[in-house]
Amino acid sequence: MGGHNDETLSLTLNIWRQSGPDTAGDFETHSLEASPAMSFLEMLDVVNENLQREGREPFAFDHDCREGICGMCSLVINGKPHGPESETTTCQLHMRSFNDGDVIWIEPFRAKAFPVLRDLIIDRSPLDRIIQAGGYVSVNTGAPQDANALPIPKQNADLAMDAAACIGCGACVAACPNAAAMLFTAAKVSHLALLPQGAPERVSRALGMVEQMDAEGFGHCTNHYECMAACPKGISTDNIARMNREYLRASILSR
Amino acid sequence: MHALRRFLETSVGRKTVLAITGLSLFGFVIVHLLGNFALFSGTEAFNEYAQKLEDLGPVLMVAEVGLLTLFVVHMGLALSLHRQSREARPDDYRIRANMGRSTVASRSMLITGLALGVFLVIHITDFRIKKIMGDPAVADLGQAVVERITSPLGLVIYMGGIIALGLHLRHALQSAFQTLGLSHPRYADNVRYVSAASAALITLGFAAIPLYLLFTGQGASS
Ligand code: FES
Repeated sequence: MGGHNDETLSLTLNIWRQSGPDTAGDFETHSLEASPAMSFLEMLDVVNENLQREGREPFAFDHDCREGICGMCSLVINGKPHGPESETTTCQLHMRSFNDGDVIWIEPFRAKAFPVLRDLIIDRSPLDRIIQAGGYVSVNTGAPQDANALPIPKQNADLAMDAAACIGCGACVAACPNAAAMLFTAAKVSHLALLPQGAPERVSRALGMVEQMDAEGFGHCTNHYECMAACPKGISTDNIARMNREYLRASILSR
Repeated sequence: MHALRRFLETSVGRKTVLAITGLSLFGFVIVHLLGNFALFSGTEAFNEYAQKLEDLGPVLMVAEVGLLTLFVVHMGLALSLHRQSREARPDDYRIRANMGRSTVASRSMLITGLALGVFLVIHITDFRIKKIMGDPAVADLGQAVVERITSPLGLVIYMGGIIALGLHLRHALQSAFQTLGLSHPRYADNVRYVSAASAALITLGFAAIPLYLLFTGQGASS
């Protein structure tokens, strides 16, 4: 529909409504005339403005940067985390990806470890606790080191950078049939394991992060690779193989 | 000991053992298939092969106990991991779309695995246990096998088991390599091709035996 921004889309929206973690939720249906130029979240903003005007409760949903870099937005749109476009966060998804007359289903990411706080907002703090369990490096204070003192092979720098592109949104968990957090954890483990700065904590990191991942109640990986297809940053499941290696190595070397 | 316990308490550790036991069982399946190929040369050749195995005596027993252990550990771990994943999403999506990377084989691992378990019980009671008990029905083992797998019911069960095996292996082999961390862009594609090809070859190999027997008129009725 290239460029015809004046045409509108008549949409039927089924949006998840849930008042709290311990209450049952259900879809609420709304109709909306949307512009193809709107982003998906702008479309939800309009829904909420209309609701407020009518004195009704707006839908709670997560967002922050709206630039695809912070990892705050979520949503499962027509069954897909972050919607139909590949390597695109919900905030970067535009209504031009939909057609006039579409019925759109909007649900929260679902996993036991991600309880629904309200409507479409989920608690993703388990991912923070996985990071706390080992996703850091120790840095000495004092005068900064010479930038070239630590040689890093270009290839490793590239792979580490690719892994570091993970924005921690949790779409991998949402897409995984087992609700596993392997791709997230693997990206974080890989990112640091590939760099010399990550070497001192290499063993404790792999053990700590994997154990925390299980303790949070995520599922196990059966190598469907649905996570990689859902990841808005295109993180590769090669990182999962790397984490499995790291974990095996750490188990053998730990004392 | 502590490190080992810690290892086995995590999903990644248990999956590592799942992959190793799975690959070992895959090795056994290949040997088993090659042994079965003796049927192409007739039931006598098959019986000779079976006798050679029997002659191993205690070695055979150790191997059988080892195999049984592999099966039990593999199935036990798979079920415990499956439970972890079931519990990880108690409230499922109302609308669920496939992202396009999972396959029929990957999604049916539990079902094909359980089917193989059932097949195994039938298979072992039919032949191995009867043989150990000295049941006269399997005195001529080769003939008993031929009659079994070419009878209508036997053929259906056999083919069902082989299809389950093929589907299971189709996902399992490359999955095991990934779990063991043996994935690298340099050879990942080859691992996938070899996995797919060996799953297909093993399925065809097993399926060929009763079909050959039927087409050459050596079936149950002959
Ligand atoms: S709102 Fe920041 S990534 Fe979508």
